[in-house]
Parts: sequence; structure tokens; C-alpha cells
Amino acid sequence: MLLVSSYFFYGYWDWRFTSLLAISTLVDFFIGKKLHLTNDKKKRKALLLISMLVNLGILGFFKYFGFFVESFEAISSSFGIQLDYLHLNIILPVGISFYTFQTMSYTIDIYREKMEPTNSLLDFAVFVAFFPQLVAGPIERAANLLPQISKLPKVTKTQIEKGITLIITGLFMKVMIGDTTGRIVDRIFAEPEIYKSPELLAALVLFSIQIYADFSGYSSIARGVAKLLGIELMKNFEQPYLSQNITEFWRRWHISLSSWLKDYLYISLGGNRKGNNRKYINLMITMLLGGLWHGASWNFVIWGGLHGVYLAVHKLILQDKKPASSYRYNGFVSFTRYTFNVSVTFLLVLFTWLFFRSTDFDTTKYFLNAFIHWQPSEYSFVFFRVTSSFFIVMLLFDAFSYYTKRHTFILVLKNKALSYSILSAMFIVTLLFMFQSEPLPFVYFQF
Amino acid sequence: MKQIVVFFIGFFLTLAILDWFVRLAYVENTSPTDFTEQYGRCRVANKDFVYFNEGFGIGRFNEGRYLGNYYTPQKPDNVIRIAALGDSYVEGFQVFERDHFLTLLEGKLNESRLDSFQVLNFGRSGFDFGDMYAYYERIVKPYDCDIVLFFVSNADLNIQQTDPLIPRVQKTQDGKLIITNEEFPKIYLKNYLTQKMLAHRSTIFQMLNNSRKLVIAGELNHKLFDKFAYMFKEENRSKSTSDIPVADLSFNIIDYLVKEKPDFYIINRDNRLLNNTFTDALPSQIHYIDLYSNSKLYKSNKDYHFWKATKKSGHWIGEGHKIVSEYLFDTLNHK
Repeated sequence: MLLVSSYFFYGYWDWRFTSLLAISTLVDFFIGKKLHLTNDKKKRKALLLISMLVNLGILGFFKYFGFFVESFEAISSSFGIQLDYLHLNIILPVGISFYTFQTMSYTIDIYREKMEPTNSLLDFAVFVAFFPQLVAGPIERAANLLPQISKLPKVTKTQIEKGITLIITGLFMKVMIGDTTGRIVDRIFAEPEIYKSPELLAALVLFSIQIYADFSGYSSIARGVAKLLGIELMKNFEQPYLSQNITEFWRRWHISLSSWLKDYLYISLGGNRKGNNRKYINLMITMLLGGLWHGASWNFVIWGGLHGVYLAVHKLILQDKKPASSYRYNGFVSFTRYTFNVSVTFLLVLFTWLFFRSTDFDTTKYFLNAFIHWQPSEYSFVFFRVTSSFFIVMLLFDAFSYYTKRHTFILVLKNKALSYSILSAMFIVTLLFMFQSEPLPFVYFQF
Repeated sequence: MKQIVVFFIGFFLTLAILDWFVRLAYVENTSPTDFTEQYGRCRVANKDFVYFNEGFGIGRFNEGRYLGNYYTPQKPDNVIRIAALGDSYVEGFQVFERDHFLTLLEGKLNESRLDSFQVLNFGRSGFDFGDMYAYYERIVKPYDCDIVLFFVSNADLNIQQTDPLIPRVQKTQDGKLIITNEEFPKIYLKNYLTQKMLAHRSTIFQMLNNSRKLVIAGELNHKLFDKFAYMFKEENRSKSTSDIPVADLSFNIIDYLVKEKPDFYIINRDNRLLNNTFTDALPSQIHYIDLYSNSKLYKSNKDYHFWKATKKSGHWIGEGHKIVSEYLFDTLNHK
């Protein structure tokens, strides 16, 4: 039933691409089994290579073919060679980056002998196609999800309560914050030349809010739906904008991807085991590829590269010290320092979002130019009012989650009737807005 | 019992907080319409708005209930005053006020001429030629304008006056043209006035009202079933606009305008020629401007109705406003 509904869910967008899902599933299921049965190192490596080639081949063809062709064309045209005939009209299948990474982690874990393969093709197929997290994660590990799928635990009352809470708050974040900031962001980034400096700055800040609300909202909905089926998915976000440094940010932002990159790319490259220089090179490679994972565009590579530089500089400053990972109030001075650190980290991240959101370098250049040659706007107050309203709502959500260490902080209230009343009101307002407005797709669907 | 009370208190308190947030962040506006005996259904005075219809519009209805800078009805001696009437193209919620063609026109005229110009935007979404005339008589006339621009399409000339709360233009038996409030449906008006209290205060109520309108417009299946909405009987959403007849009332209005003091301009804003039975009948005292045939709007490969961000075709985009302002400036400058 879960498998059928998951394939239906995926096929609802475009049924043709369910075949890719099936190919990925079959290849990794059988390779996983073979890997477990053989001790021959060469054979094991060959099997792993096949899995990588198939998964990365699918990903590469559908996601990066156009990008590499365009880049190749640009280089060749600078030598006077025109290669326009290489163009293919390739549709990017939704969620391809998520499920290929998920299946790859299964095979790598078996190769590393961290887990045993499953004997049930059905369970494995559900693991790959599990609909709540299929199209935009969290990128689950087989060790966490597979045992739950094979058992399909009984749903508890607490899970239902938390699941519904996560769905409602996630929907609120996605629709009332993500979509509403998104419609301003989309319009300004589409024609930056008609907007003035404060308006462009507001668009950038609003994008930082949109991408967080949209993606964390989706992750909450995914976790909530899974909970209703008795399955626990990992947290994908932990109030990243309250981070005191960039290392902490990456421990709180898109956790399933950052931990995947660390476990399967950074460590595979040698991590920090091969000396200091190699550590920084590995870090840069990981972050550049992490950027490229988001999309076939140089803007994403720059975004990843900037984060790589931030992380490397932070590691250099820290040396062997551990970075701060959480905050507890300890007087006014400590709070001021915390606020300062959070602000600096946010500004650094904000700068990188410009590259992430711009569709081309001209847009990026236009924004940067407008920030340098500041031009006031008669609508500065309107933009300030809008931006600060969204900012405060997000901050309140995050502050409560941070303080209670729960995404379901509304349930912390002792009076259940009060919790339910808040959720009901949020749900009704969200539904009303959804009904009367045009929906925006989830930002991460394109990845 | 105590839990039920707590639930309802919490529920309405949360609604109130959310309503406040929705208004502050301009997620939704409170209702922009008001009602007065004189004007009928009109815009709210002194109201800022942010709209996301196709484009992105920011502006303000001033204390005179029209858009742009507020000018008192008493016109200073050295000023040339221009009023523009029309539908949503003139109201122009899709662009910032600074990029609206009337704001640009005012700026250009003031920059290039020694006279001082004031351009007043009385555009109203959904208006046809009859509504525009009623608005002219009731609202615009006291402003003592020197030039009045009527932006019309073929559909506007087929006067229907669909809004029951706009004063109705009627021809009496003795051939006079009158504007009357007699036709306001009493129950409709009473309901509107009751609703208005909430619609002016609550964005959530406004969202509820918008949703109700969508249901009435037959959008429910589409909204609920998305791709599978085709399984339900589709309502005919659009009417063909070809060969729309010109209402007799349109000719009567023109006959009346001839007798008035200002210079009147009929401006074709449609994406095709205006019905020639109407344009041929225009007397020489009424100027005619055809944006369709003469401006760059339809003369280049670029679609000046296509909104990049929303991928929708609709009203003039920012560049379209610029073209219209330039064309009007050139035309008015030569007169």
C-alpha cells in the first residue's frame, strides 16, 4: 500500500519518471545483496562502482548534462567553434538528487560493512520511494528508515498529536511565510533593474526567510506525515539562523545533506586524517560539490565555494578548539556577544544567498552594484515593515523551538485546549490563504 | 466546559494575532472599497496597499479616494489638470506608483513644459464606459479638470454596469442622461454595509470573502482537485470578446461630453481596433487616441503584457507603462 501510494504520488507529477525510481531501486537492492555475499575486495569495489555509475549517471544526465554542454559550448565558442547542436531538452525529474543520494548511502554503508542489506525488495522499494520525503528529503539513512519500514510500528497517540502539529506548523511556514515572501522575491529577482537599493536588500533578506520557511516547512510536513504512519524521520533543520558561527550553521541547516556530504564525501576524500592542507582541500571540494548538488549552475558552485571558504577560515581560527554549538543565557554580556555572533553569521550567510537565488551573474552584479551605489526608495518603510514582520514571526518560531528543543513547541503548553486552539486557528488561516491565492512550488523541488 | 471556553478564547486570540501579522506584512489587504451616497461603491480614502496581481504593486488611495498625489478640488490658476478614467489598466495595481504611466506622464509634462501639470488617476478595476461616466459626473467633475482621458476597450463600450453599487447611467424618456442611485438593490446594499465593517478591519475576513467569490466564480473544483478537476463539468469561464456591440448609451455619453468644458480624449487601450461604429461617430470635439495602432505596445516582438515572474499574460508590464506614458506625452504635447 505504501509503495503504491508512493509511486502514485511521484507519478502524479510525471508518471514516466517512476521508471528512474524503479531502476535506482533495483540496481541498489541487488548490488547491496551481492556486496554482502562477497569478500573479494576488487569485486566489492567494482560493485560499488556500478552503483555509483548508475545513480550518478542518472543524476548527471538529467541534472547536469545541459550545464556541462553549455559550459563546454562557452569554452569552445571562445576558440571560435560553435557546438549548438549538442542541445537536448531534458526535463529535470523532481527529487532526483534526494533519492539517488539516499540509495547511494545504502550501498556505501553495506560496502563499509556498517549495515546488512535487506532481504525484502518491497521494503527497500518503500525506503527509496517513501512519499513524505521522496521529493525534497530529509535524505534518510537506510539504518534509520529501513528497520522502521520492515516493522511498520503501531502509531502512538503522541505520534498522531506531534504529527498533526508538525503538518500544521510546516504548512503555515511554507504557505504563510514561504509563499508570501516568495512572491515578493520572485518579482524583484525577475526584474531587479526596476527596483531601488532598499527594495533589493529587502528581497535578499526575504529570500533568506523564504528558503528557510519553505524548506523547513516541507521537512516538518514530511516528518509529520511519516509520524502519522508510525515512522520517525530525522530532523532536517534546527534553527540555523540562530547559529553563532558558520560551522554551527552547517550543523543546523539541511542536516540530512550536510551529514551525508560529511559521511560519504568528506570522509571518503580523507577528511582531516591526511594533514592540514588536505583537510582544507577536502572541505572545499565537499562544499563546491555540495553547491553543485543544488543545481546545474555556476551560481550554486560559487555559493558552495563561499561556504567552503567561510568554513575553512573558521577552522583556521578555531584550530583545535570546539566551535560553539548552543547557547544558554548567562547574563547580559553573554547575550550581547551571542546576538553579535548570530548577526555576523547571518550576514555572512545572507551574502551567499545572493548567488544562490540569482539566475545569472548579471542579476548578482546588479544587486551588488545597487548595494554599493545606494539609491534611496520612497517605499523603504513599506519594505522595512514587511521584512521585519516576517523576520519577527520566524524569529519567534525559532526562539520557541530553540528554547524548548522541540519543533512541536506548541504542545509544550500545559493546557491542551489552548494548544489545539492555536493550531486550529493557524490551520484555518493557512487554508484560506491557500484557497484564494496561486501556490508557489517548493523551492527545493527543483533540486 | 472550562476547556471549551479556553479553546475559543485561544482560537480567537490567535486569529486576532494572525490577522495583525497578515495586515502588517501585507500578506493580504483589508477591503479597498467603501460606500458613500454620492459616489456609490468607491475606494477607501487614505489607504496604502500592496498587491501581487500579475506584477507587484505598491500605492495609496489618497483622501480624494483616487490614486497618486492628492490635489484639492480647488484648482490653482496656473495649473493644467488632467484626469484619467478607465478600468484596471488605468488603476494599474500591477506596478509601483512611481512606474505607473500616469505618474510618468505627470513627471514628463512638468519637466518639459513651463506650465504646471497635475494628473489624477480615477481608474477603477472592472469599470466600463458607463461606470466611468458616472464616476466622472459624481467624483471627477468637482476637480475642474482641463483634460479628461477615458481609456476604453470594446468590452467597455458594451455598457453593462455590472456593479450594482455604482450609480447607474440612464437615459430618460425625454432624452436626458441621468446618474441615479435609485437602482441600488436595498438588501445587497444592506449586506454590503454590514460586511464592510469587518472587511475594513479584518484581513482574514477579506480572505474568506475572496474565497467565497472564487467559489461563486466556479473555481472550487479546480482548487480542490487540481489535475483531476476536468472530471467535473467545466464552467465556461471566458466570454468571447469578438464583435461586441457598442451600447447606445455609449453614443449618448459622447453626445453629453461634447457639451462639457474639458477636452475629452477617448483612448483605445484594447488589443485590437475599437469598433468603427463608435470611432466613426466620434465628433471632432472629442479627441481619439489609438494605442493599439500607434504606440509601440503592439508593434514589436516583445509582449508588453507578459509578466516574467508569474509567467502570466495580463495588464501592461512596467515597460508597457513606459511606452504608454511616452506616447501620451508626445500626443498631448502636440495638442
